[in-house]
Amino acid sequence: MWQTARLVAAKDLNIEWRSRQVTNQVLPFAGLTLVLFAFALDRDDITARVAPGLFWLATTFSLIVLVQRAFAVETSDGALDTLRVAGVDPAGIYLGKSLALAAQLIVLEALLLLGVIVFYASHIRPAGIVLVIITALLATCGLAFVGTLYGGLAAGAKGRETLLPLLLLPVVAPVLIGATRAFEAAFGTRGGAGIRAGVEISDGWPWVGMLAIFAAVFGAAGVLAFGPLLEEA
Amino acid sequence: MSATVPNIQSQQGVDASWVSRRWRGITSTGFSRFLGILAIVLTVWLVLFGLIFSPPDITQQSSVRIMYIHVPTAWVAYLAFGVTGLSSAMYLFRKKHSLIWDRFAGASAEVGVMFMGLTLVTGALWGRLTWGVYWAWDARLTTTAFLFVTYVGYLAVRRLGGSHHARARRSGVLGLLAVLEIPLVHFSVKLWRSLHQEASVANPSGDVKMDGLMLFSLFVGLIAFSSLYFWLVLHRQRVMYLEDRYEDADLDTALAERRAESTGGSHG
Amino acid sequence: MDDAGFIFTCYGVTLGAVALYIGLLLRRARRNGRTAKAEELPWT
Repeated sequence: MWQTARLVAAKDLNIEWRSRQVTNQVLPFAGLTLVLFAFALDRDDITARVAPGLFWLATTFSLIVLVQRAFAVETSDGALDTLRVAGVDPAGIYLGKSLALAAQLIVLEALLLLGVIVFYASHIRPAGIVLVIITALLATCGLAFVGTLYGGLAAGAKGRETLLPLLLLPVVAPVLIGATRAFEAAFGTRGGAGIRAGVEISDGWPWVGMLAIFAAVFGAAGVLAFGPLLEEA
Repeated sequence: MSATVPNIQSQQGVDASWVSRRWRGITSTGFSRFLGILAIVLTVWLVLFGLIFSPPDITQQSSVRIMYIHVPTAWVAYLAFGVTGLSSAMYLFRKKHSLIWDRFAGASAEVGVMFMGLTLVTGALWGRLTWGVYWAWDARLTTTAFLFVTYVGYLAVRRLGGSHHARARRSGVLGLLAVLEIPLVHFSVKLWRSLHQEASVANPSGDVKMDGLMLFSLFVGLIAFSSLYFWLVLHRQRVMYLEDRYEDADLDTALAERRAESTGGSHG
Repeated sequence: MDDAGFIFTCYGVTLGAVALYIGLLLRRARRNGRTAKAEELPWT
């Protein structure tokens, strides 16, 4: 299973490296959303305060695009069917594709974080750096697991481009909430203008726990469910 | 599909049993007729008790009358989604993979989405009267809204096409995932609210003192909507059977035509 | 009755929606059941 996962992940990342579709299209898209948020909100103090939420919104939107891409690669020339017929372990395919998706998301998030710092004048508290990294890693795992699972569910069907956001967005809501709160704790935003006087770093950790549960639950569900999903009649 | 309908209509006169069935309703049986009559009678009761017989509440006045509708719709919606999850599991885990479970899951989800939509509408109306706002970001409300969207997505997946078993497998997995997702959403929303503000509104049902007639009205509502639910799901499931059958028949004729074409071609 | 508008809307919308759904359901049943013979249906 892990062997398969590694090979599938390497294959996906290799395709990505050759086509540069993510670097040339998805990254600019994510950056553009940051700029558009700034246009819509129009005030510097507001963007600084809601920067964590905007960061995760931009990531979530990019996730949808990335998942579409990840499965368009598979279904356009029947590659998924070939893998299935060849008897490749579906759990391995699932983990591999999740891994590749997670890797792309991490790169995207690193650049988005830079964008948030530059555009929205956010600054991470030194003590919050660990929190930011762990939150990002766990949230990315959760997003990648859910994305791959629902992407596989809609793969190969007509109208999946419009269906995927409808399926995916409600499910990733806990990640959006949890990761945003954890980032707020690390950024120290909400302070003064918020409902409470300030946010302690320690306020972020319960959310990290929730993100871990989310990733574990959906990872396990995906490993179990991907097999039945792939066998099309 | 619609192109074949006139063709079939022409059989009306020939098929004598069709004429008699038309007035009985093709999807009804003795049991479902009984259930249907029960649902109608109880719904009339609900309207009478809810609007006329039951007294206004001390604190909420007449707006409490919305509760007799709102709470039963919410209950039925949750029941429906529970049945969807259970039926999905039955389809996926039973060796036979019987499509009847898939149809029950789909029928129940559809009825559930309707009732959940009504829950949101009636809840908004009630909220406007008792809280002064249509919507509050309370954990229960937010989870309800998420349930609604999730099962709208579920219904969309059921319409994706493919064979009946492909549909059943896909939606079965989704039905189980939804059951998994809901506690997570509820938990996260609850944590979110509790961390930065108390829900600004009082628990709507907590401080309502209910007298006997009010409790009875609510009880009538619950029973009425539950029987309505069972009637709807039973019939929706049967209609779905007919639709599947119709589709298969279409496919069969198309296949036969294609086969006749190809054999004709090879002979010539 | 106070707030009658809200309350009647609530009852009307709910019962109306259910009635509409039943109507659509029966129409679909009739449309899809035209070719079905009563003996073939699993519930008869």
